Amino acid sequence: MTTSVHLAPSGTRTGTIIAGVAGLLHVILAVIAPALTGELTQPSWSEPSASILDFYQTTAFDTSFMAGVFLEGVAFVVVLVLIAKLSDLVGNAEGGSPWLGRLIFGGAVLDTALILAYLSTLGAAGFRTSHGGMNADGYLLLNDLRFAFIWVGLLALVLWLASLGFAMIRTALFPRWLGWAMLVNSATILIAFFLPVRAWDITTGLPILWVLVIAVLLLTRPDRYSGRVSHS
Amino acid sequence: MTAVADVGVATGGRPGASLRIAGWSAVLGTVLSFARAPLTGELDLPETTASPEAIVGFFRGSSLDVAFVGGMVMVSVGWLLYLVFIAKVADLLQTIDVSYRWLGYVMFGGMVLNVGMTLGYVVTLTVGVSAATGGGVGLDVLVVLFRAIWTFIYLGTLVWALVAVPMGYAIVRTAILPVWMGWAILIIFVANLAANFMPFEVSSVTGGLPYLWMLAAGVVLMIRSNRH
Repeated sequence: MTTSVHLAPSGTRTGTIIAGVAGLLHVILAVIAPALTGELTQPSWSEPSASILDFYQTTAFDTSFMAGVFLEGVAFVVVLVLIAKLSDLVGNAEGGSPWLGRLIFGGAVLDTALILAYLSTLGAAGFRTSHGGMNADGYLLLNDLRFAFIWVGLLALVLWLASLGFAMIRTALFPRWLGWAMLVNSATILIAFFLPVRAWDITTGLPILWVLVIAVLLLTRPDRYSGRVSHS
Repeated sequence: MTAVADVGVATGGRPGASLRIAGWSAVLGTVLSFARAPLTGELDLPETTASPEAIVGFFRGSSLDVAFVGGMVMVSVGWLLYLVFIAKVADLLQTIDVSYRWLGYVMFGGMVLNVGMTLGYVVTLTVGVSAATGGGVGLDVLVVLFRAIWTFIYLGTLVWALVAVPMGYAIVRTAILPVWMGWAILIIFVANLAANFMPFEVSSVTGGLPYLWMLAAGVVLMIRSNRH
């Protein structure tokens, strides 16, 4: 006898593949975009006013910079497709109870909104500089706002990362080590708030790695993650 | 033969554990929200009609030290924990009667918006302190940030409707929590809205009531989790 197919509420095989591709796209864009915007060289709010102003007045806010801002925005919008799929999978694995899945998706939406606010302030500073510049007040304000948005965005990131990690440990959905890694990563991001700013660069970069692992799992095992099984 | 998906098998989902998590989240969220105020200088937040000198004095009264940053993290984490609580309550509502599922979406979406307002408040307050103590920023910028702080507070009391009204209605109709708590959250919401038009002393008292409601709701969930 050939196959009998059951489509669980976690969606179709195509949906799983789309989610995996969205995850891969997020990883690619989240690596390329910061390189274009020189994210690692952007000043924090704890730096002297002179060096903040120096950054904005000497950086070439050219087409590639603005493209980086745009692509980073796309990266964090696209990842919502993957997270919607993960929320659905978690809901199924919890026996139809959507609370953890809802929490993961809610946290991710919040995170994306705050990242977009961060990118808007960065883009606004760049746009004004390339169109005649601003006075010092404007630059310092936008720099502080930019930094504060990413700061609170990290808290929303902690929410969905920890919830997803917790769900992975509670269920057999993904390898449990991945869940533990996400939980530990969430804790390190919280601790990083009280460490020198550059400690963030490592802890906040790791979620990209977890997204990559999840995307690869979805793409290599689409039948498992669409609830499709075969019986002979 | 019935095929069973290898994903979708409930292995977690112990109702007692998730109730306990939700209950603790509400309690801890309230503790963090109250405990942060003395650390951040928010108790000295001037009224909306304050003079520019008072506004500058308020911002310069704090600095971006460990206590202030810790306080801002505490209030942010506190509200994110409320999201955990609401997610579970929305889930319970659906379990009791699936026709109330849409109310769960409204209250969860409303809480996401409330967290957004709180984080907006945190951003403007933190930037104000950073700008005032870092030097180099003019008075106009600080006044704008101060107005933004109050705008987030006012918007927060308004957006709270999306949590309080469906929550109150759902509790009164389904007794998902004690019915008096349903009436209480509705009354607190109306009192908070009205307090926006009253002296500052009144709104500073009513502003704490939703936190106490969340604390009580968290305790109720924790007690109920022991029955599962």
